[in-house]
Amino acid sequence: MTKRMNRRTLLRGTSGALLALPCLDAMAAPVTAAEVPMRMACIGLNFGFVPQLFFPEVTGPNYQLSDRLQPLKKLRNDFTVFSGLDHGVNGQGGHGGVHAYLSGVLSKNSAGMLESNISIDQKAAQLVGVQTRYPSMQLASGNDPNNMISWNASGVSNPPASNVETIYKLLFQKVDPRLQKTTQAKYAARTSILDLVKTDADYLKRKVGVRDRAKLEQYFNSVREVEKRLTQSSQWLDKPKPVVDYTLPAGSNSRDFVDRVPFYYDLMSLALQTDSTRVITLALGDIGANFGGFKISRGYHQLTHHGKVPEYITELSVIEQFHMKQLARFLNQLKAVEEPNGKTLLDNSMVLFGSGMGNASSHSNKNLPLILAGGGFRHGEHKSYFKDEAKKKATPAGNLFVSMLQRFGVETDQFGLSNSTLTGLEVQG
Amino acid sequence: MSDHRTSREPRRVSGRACRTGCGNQPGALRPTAHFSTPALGLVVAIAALLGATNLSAADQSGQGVAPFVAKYFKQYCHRCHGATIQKGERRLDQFLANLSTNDDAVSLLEEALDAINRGDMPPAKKGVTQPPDDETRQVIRWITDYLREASGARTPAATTMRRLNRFEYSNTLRDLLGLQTTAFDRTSDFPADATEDGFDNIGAALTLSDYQLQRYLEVAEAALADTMFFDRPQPQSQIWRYTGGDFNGVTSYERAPVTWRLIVNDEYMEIGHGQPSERAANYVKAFVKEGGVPADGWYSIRIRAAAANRLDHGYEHREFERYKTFPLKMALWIAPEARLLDKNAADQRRLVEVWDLPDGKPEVFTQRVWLGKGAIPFVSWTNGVSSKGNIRRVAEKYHPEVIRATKTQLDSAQLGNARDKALVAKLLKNKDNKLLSEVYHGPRLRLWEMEIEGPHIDQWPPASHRLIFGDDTDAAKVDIDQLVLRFTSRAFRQPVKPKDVRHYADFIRKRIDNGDSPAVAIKLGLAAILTSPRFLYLDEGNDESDPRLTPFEFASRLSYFLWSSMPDSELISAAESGRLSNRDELTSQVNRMLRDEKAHAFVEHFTDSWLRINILGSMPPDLRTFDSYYDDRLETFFKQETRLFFADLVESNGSIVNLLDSDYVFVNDALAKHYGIDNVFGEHFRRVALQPKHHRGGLLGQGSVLTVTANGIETSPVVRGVWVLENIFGTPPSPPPPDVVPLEPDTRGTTTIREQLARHRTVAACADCHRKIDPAGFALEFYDPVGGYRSRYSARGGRGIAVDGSGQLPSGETFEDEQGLKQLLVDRKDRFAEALTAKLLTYATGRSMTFRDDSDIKKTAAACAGNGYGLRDLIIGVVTCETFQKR
Repeated sequence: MTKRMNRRTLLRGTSGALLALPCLDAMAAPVTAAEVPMRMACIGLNFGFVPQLFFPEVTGPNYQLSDRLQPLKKLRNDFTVFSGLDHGVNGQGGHGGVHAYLSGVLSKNSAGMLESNISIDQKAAQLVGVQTRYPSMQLASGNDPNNMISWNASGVSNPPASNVETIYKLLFQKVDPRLQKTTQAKYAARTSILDLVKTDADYLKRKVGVRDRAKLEQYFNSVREVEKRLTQSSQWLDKPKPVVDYTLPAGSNSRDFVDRVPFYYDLMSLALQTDSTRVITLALGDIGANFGGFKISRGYHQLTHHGKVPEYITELSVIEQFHMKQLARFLNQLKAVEEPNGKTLLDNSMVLFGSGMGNASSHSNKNLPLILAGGGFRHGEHKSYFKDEAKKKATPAGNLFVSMLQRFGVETDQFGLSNSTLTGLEVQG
Repeated sequence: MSDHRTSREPRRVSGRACRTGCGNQPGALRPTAHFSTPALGLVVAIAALLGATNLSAADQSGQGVAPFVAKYFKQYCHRCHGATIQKGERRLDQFLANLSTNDDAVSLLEEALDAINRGDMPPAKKGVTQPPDDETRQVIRWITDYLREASGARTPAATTMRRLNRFEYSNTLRDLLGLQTTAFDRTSDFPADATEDGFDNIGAALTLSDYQLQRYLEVAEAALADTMFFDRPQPQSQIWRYTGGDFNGVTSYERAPVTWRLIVNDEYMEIGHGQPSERAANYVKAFVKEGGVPADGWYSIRIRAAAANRLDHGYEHREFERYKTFPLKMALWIAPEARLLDKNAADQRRLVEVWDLPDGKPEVFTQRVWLGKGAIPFVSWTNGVSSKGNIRRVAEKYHPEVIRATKTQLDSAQLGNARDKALVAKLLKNKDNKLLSEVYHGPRLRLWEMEIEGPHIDQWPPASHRLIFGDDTDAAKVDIDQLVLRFTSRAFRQPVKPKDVRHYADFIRKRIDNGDSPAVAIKLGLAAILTSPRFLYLDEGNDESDPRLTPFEFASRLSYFLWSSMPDSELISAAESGRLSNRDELTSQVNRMLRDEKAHAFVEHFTDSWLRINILGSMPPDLRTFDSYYDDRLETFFKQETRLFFADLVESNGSIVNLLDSDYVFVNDALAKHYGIDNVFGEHFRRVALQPKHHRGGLLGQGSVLTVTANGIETSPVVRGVWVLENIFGTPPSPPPPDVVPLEPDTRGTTTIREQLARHRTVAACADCHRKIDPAGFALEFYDPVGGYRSRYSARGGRGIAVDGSGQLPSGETFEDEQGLKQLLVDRKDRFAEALTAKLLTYATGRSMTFRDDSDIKKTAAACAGNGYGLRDLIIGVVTCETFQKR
């Protein structure tokens, strides 16, 4: 464990959506440049983007920003936009393929794979999860069990938190010191229960057949994971949470989609900056009641079935443009934070933004819209990875994930159904 | 049998969902092995002849591929992938004469199929001979069928030890601890269980995550805390009586407020506004102040209420139209805590009951309900006036003399806005007239009284405590060894040996020695038992050493099939005495169990999984186009209809042919309106005879099925066609080959879906399957995305084109519409009986059926058919068949 854990941080900002992340180095405990960790944020849109408005026409550094990418104009050198990447046959299933966004493998196809359909965030959390209060965090704009994007090594999805007030409490609400002792005792009791039930698992193991033993192994794995989690939680129990000068306005969780989404981004920025976690996912789904507060007259899902009708596409663009502006705002927040290694929080955070849906109108999961920002990669290009332009034969998006994981510090040359790293994606010199 | 977890499943076979449809049915297109294909028909036939049960496709080694496939490979592949040259290190000549289902061979064949499908191979290079499309298509079909069978052969023919899924866990806790779970289901936030072919109780598919285990730990402790009553005082029963003036209304309005809640003469409160899921709660202020009910328990709630001015208001307004065919409906809700009365917490409250209100004279409505401490009952008007603007518009039209200036108008006038200034001046003359609340007489609900009585306590300590601890309320006196022995034998659903559970008793004693109070130590010990794999998994022994189930394992299987819960004491004692192996005794147990309320779980979860109704709501229909879906609560009623229809067949041993087509439906007022059936008034469901003009009958006429097979926005004949093949015939089509260009709908008016599909079918790779898939889907085009009947498509700003519901089955028979299709389905009722048997067995055993189960399925279905197709007979047939009796 590093010294960073004890650091009390004070963030100055205005409450609400307009957040300016402050410079931390004046008040932070000394952190050497070598200790500044890499972070990862993966943002997934359940419905993707209208492809013809998303992908730039020309590739290379001199490409012209597409309509959709316009909000990222000033950040041009901070991100790369990809085309020609997808998960191939194993990520296809229309809306049912969206959950493979970060894993490359549909849940039902992952039986027999060593770590099932583990998603990239969880692979990263395996490396750094023990070092922060939360090994990883999963956020979502709504509760949608069909569009889970974070999956653990047992092939089970990690349920996201969607209530912004809950997320805020997790990150910043003080633990009542009077409860510390009883909570500590509760954790200890649970640990001893887990110790106890292993006896029964052993009993069953002697009794059942080979196939069942694999299920028991999953049980043992879960027991070990929970034990680790309990240990981690009790170690963090007496460490104060970071203090931030950021509060959510009253009733923030019941606000319309347009007003609520900025909170998720703010909380992500803060979580990364305060090192409460180093790995976050955010799933952005349906816009909910009141058309999400957008000035449109149809539902999001209906609009994605635009049938090429221009007025539908215009309304859909209102939502898509909003998402791109939010990304720009988030990247700017990260960029405004200087870290002890002289780099910005954006340099130290790889941000993946995109979707497991290639074209919602035809329910295609091919040619996924993907943007990678920050993380110290050399950006500023539109890179195409079609192996065959004419046939639109794509490269496994898993290759991008391998490159990200390597940069993150995970020693691996394989992820999901990748077949190499992503050639041409380089780290800044 | 290979280890399922570590063997590489032939992923590609199940890995594709059709991208020409919506793809919103998880696993919808996963092939099941329950039908024979040309490739393996022979094997199945031999298996049936020999009565062999464990014949796997591996037994085919020695057989080669079909001659035309071998010829194809020789002619087009072997020059580069043969004995001499192996480009890309792929050699495609060795498996031709001797097929094997081992991983390598299967992967190689998969790879070859992918390459052919994509059109990558043979490469379009100079000098490479290209095969004719026709040959390629046949080869693709053969390999696809073969791989499907190979996948079936590797699917275990025994149930993998299965974890209790969310519902089973919740029901088991209910029965084991004697808990009330309707009031507050602690498992509602559990992660959704993994499904296979739509079923969420398949052992091989169910997983366990650390998060889930953590929740088990937490829920076990919390549930036990609700169960144990050591040293707790007995709460006293009380009655709270409130009249109209006690509610949260006001006494006068001069303009229409957001929620019309008016207290009249201190007698009753009028509610003028309401929606199906109402944000505004109509509650008693004083009761909230008291903190809700003082203790967990059963309460009686009595409400005196009536409808006012349902018809006799004289106002013409679009929204009042519905009251001509619907009564006013009042819902009883429970807010588990006071803070959940907040308008933003509506989704955390529980709807208990909906009543039709009498016009005029109030009636008393009574409901017995389980309430947790702090809960607050309240009512709402479920089919009320939905918009605050509507009362205002009515007032402006019919009572212009009561209209006062709004605050906004006053402010604006103050700031000098000329228009508002004039308006305010004009409205000034109304200031001495009556108030809007005095003159408005539109439809509304009148709430006269609410009475809450409870908790009703028949015994102390409560039944839950007695179930586990007897009548002892002193934890220190509990015999720990006896407690653990009794509790584990129930929790593990079979007799246990003291030595196998002694560690729990030791644990409790040790905690007491270390300073825990006996009650706390006992709670932790029992919580540990509820976290044990022997509780969380259904242990059915080792199929490798003995495929037969022990009587206790069998009792559990039966109980989880029909109750989604643990066996009760009667079933356990039947198992103990060996009576379950007697067919008559087993039949009478099944009949007893089906009569029990707990059998709702079977009806609910089986129809949910089989028909995929559990995904209802995941593709929400468009709010504007299909407003009645929300306003009339159709989603809830769709589910109820299907469950009621199925439950009725179970209860009456009705013919399963009714599922294909029936001359009756179960509907209430809202569904009847949706289906175009007249003269059905009121919330309750009833059986109604159908006429041809209704275009209903059977599952294919039900809103549930028609809605889950659409995506909420548009219909696709492909999705509905696949649904029919899968659920009616049990023969899901092969998934489409990769790299087929998906249909991108173009609704700008140039093409119909039928034309688009016709174009699709000109592609060789698509034609074969779509010939089977599309026809049934075409006939169902008469139903819109929420199952409403349409003879024309809707078109923006005009008359849409007429629906063409005609089609031709691959057998050559043609039909003109959905009725014609249903007749052809009824002609195939024996095939349907087999498909339904396979689905029932899948649900009952917790594993996918393979072609090895084929003969048993056919036998069971045939017996049911020979006996008049009764559904209850079929269930008994399933329970008594060999497949169910074995692991």
